[in-house]
Amino acid sequence: MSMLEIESLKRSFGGLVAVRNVTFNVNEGDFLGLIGPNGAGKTTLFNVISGVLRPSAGTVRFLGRDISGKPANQTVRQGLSRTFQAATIYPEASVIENAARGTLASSLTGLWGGFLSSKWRVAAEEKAFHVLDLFGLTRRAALKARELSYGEQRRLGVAIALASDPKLLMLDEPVAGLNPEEAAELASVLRRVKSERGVTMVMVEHHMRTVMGLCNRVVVLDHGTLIAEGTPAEVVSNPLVIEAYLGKEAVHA
Amino acid sequence: MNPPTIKPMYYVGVAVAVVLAALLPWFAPNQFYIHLATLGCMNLMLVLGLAIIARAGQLSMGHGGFALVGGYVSALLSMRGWSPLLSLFIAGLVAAAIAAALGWIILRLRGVYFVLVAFAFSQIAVLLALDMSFVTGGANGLVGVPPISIFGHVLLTKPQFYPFALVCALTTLLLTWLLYRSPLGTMMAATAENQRLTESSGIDTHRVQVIAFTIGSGIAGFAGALSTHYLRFISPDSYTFWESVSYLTMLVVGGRDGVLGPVVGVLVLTPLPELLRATEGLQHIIYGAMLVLCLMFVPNGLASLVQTWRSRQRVAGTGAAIVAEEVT
Repeated sequence: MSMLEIESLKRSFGGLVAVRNVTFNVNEGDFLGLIGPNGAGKTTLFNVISGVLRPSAGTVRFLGRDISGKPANQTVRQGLSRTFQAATIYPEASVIENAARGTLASSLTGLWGGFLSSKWRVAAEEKAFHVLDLFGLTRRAALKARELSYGEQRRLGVAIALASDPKLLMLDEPVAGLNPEEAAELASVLRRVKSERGVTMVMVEHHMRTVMGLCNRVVVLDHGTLIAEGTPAEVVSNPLVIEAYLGKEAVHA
Repeated sequence: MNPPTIKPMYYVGVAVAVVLAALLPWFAPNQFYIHLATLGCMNLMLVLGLAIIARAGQLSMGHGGFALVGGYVSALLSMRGWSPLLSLFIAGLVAAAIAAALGWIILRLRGVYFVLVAFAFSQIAVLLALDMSFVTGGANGLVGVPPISIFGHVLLTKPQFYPFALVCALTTLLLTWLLYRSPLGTMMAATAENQRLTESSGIDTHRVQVIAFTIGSGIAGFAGALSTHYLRFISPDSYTFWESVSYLTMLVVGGRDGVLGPVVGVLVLTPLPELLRATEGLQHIIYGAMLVLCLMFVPNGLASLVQTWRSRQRVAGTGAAIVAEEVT
């Protein structure tokens, strides 16, 4: 079943077309990799899908509902959550508070509940602890988020996104800036999250080893256009993809 | 980890402080101290209102404008025969309604733009009060505002009024404390710290900020009205830009986190000008020097000294626990 359907999506900034008529689907249970050279429009596409930017044309459908141009906070409540490349935590709050804030939108009290009882906080922190446990951050719970190492902060960023109980989790370069051990660790956490929670995932990533190891399907963007789609093995042997990454001569050589 | 548990010691401390504040009229050497305490109560409400707005990450430089609106609304209604007790609440609601409408439009602006528009609002409020003299009495203001009466008990003198002001201030304090602990308060703090991330956690941060601005400005309207019925007078000079600045100063000096900061800021800065009066001429210099020293050495406010001490204890505690865990 198609969870996310992207149809003829376009986004331009003034005269610059960053995303041009992109169409693809994300199926339930997918771990889709979104790759492409620098400036290919991956992050723009991400921002349009998650509601941070409005599309110039085209539609985004999530679980059969049109979400194009809807603000990010609404798409999250429907089950589409995302992470950012940088500054994805609350640095001055404790680690447990960081994860607990991720659960707020899905907690039942709403905006005006929880004034006189602290049940909501117990529930939120319980949920937050489950997420921290998945990411191996339980023992850091009482520290301030800014006191964590860079690798731990990146994991916490994904943990916050997962705390909102998404059906589809979109990760923007989750392993960027991590050393090989940290990258491998985060990859194994993501694999575990996927199998334990059944979350469908989409990932923008430059780190090819991570993409090849995690994704069952890969979509390749170049200059805002979708140039290839398929399994990781199919995509890396696609001449168009090799050309996009290495230039024309490499293909002929 | 359990929700922050409050030790019985804190309850005792709060209870002692409340009892002391309530008994003030009995041991104050003269009425001036009661007057000062009453002003402190109203300042506390105004600073708490400002703190709620700041909790959601916005700085309101027009806080005095909402107090002015509240003061005029309550004065005009009560002078036309409305019960002042009722008009106080109407004043708060009117200020809140204006803030909601204004906030819906201007809270899309970020940072300095919001500060400027809020500032402009307070200036417009003062100018309207000056120019609409057929309603507001112009520069002369409104004289002879009726006193508050509760079930026929008229609050005319300072010792009569003070308990009422104290009850209002403590109620505001309690409600603010409950707000900070609620999901809405948590959303406000999250919005202030990282708006983009909060938005991506499914929270409508614009709405959260409008609500904070509405609540905070509503409190300002109520406090402005309360003050008007206490002084029995309001004029365009009652709440100028300088009043807005002084609430902000109290908030910054006291501390922006939690409800303790505003209390400390008000307790320190309400009587300070009076205490410095003896120094003749030097008072403004000393006042300014104290502010600069506070900002340099306690940038998170005087109340943060308590929190630093508490978190040191907490870190020492968890550190010991981790060591113990690793040893076993």
